[in-house]
Amino acid sequence: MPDKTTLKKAMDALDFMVVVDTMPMEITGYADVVLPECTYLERYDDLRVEPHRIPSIAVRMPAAKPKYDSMPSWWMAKKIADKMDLGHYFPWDDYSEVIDWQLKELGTSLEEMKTLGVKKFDRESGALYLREGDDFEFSTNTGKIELYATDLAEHGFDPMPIYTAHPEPPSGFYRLIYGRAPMHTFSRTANNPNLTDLMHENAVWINPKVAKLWSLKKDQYVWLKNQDGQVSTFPIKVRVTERIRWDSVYMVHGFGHSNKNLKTAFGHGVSDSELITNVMIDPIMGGTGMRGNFITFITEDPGKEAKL
Amino acid sequence: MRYAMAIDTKKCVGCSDCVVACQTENNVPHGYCRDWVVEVMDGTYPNLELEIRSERCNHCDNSPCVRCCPTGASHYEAGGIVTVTANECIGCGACIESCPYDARYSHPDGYVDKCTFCLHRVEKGEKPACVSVCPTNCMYFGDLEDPDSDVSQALQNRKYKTLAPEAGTKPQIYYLI
Repeated sequence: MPDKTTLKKAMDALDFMVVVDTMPMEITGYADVVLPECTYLERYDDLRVEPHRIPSIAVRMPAAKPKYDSMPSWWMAKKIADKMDLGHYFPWDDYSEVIDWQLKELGTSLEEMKTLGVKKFDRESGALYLREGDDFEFSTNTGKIELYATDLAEHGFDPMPIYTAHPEPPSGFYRLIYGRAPMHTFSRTANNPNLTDLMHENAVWINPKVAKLWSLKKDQYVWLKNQDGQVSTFPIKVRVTERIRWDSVYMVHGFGHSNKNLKTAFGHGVSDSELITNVMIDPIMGGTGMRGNFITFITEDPGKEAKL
Repeated sequence: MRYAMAIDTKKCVGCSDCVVACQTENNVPHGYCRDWVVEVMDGTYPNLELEIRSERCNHCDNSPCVRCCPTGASHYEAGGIVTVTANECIGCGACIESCPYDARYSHPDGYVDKCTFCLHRVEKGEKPACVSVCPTNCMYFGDLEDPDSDVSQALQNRKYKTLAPEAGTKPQIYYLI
C-alpha cells in the first residue's frame, strides 16, 4: 500500500482489525485476527453478470479443494453470524445453494451451468448503439455532449480542462513509474513458485544515459531513496534499457515483500509502494495519482538506520 | 505429414503462460524449462522496435541433435517431431552442445529433456499445451502438408522467418513478423 504513514495512522486508530487474505501479506502482521481465505480457484463466488453488448452470466466454481485451514469468505461470514445469533440470515448450508437458487430464477441451474460455464442471453434493453435519426438526450444539463462542462462550472471548477504543469523531479532524482509484468498479478502471485521461476525479483529500468552518469552497470544492485528520504528496505537490480526515458525510472509492482512468511517472495526486489509517499488527489473527481514520486540511487548499503 | 508451429511475434505479449503450461503438462522440474520467452529490442529512445517471441525446440528437418546422439535416444517421431527416449539416453550432453537453439537441458534424473510438441496430446488430436493456453492465441500448430491446417493458414498471408537458418538445420518453428 502506498503512503504507509497515513495507513499506519488509520490502523492505529482502530479498536480491532481483522484481515481476510489468501497470502500472509505484510498487513496481516498488523491484524488482531487473521482469517485465511482460500483462493478464487478453491471456492464458489457470486455470479458474474455482464449486462453489456452480449448479456451473459458466468458461474465461478471451485477447481480444487482449499488447502490448509483456508476457507471461503461466505463460510466465515456464516460462522460469525451463527456466533452472533444472526444465523437466520444465512438459511443455507453451502453457498452453492444460493447460487443454484439465483440461477433457477434466471431459467437455468447450477447443474446446467457447471457444463456451460457461461450462458448468453438476448438483449432486452434495445439496440446497443444510436442509429441515425434516433431521438436521444444525454444526461447533461444541455442534453448534449458537453465539451464545456456546465456541471463543473456550477461547482466552481474549470469547465474546460486547463493544463497544469506536473511537478518535475529535483536534480539527481528521477520520476518513479511503476507497472505490471504479464506473468504476475499485482503482489498476490509473488509467492507462487511457478511464477517466481519466471520472474523472482523486479529490476529498476534506467536509460543508458542515466546509467553512464551514475556509473551504474547492468545487474548491479542499488538502493532507492525518494524525495521524502524514504529508503527502500531491499536493494534492486539495475536494468539498463532504452525502453525508459532519461528523466524517469520504471519498476514492476508487487515485489520487495518484507514478511518472512512469504517464503519465496521475501526480500526480492523493491516495493514501489514503499517509495510512494506522495499520493496526489484530483480536486474534481478524487482520483489518485501516484506517479509524482521521485527517486535517487544509493550504491552502498545504507544500513538499517537509514531504512527506518 | 510435417508438424510445425507458427508464432506471431506481433501478438505475443511475453506473459510466459506457455512456459508454465509446458512445465505443468510435462512435469518439468522447477528451475528448468522446455520453452521460454525472448525479448529483442532495437533502437534508441523513443524510436524503438521490440520483438517478443516464445522459443522452444525447432524440431528441425536436419537435426544435429539426432545425428550426434551416440545411442539413438534422440530420434524422429512421425511427422518429424524430435524426441528423446529417456531410458536410452546416457546423458552425455552432445546433443545439448550441437543444438544452435539451446533447446535441450540435462534433467536432474540423468537424461536430456526437451520439447516434444506435446506428442502425447497431439496423438489424441489435441494441441500442444503452450498453444492451447496462449491468451493472445499467437501460436498456430498443425501439419504443414495440409493446406487447411492452422499453421499452413497462418503462414499463407504473413511474412515469416526462422531462427538461425544459417545453421542449415531446417527449423520448423516459423515466426510471423
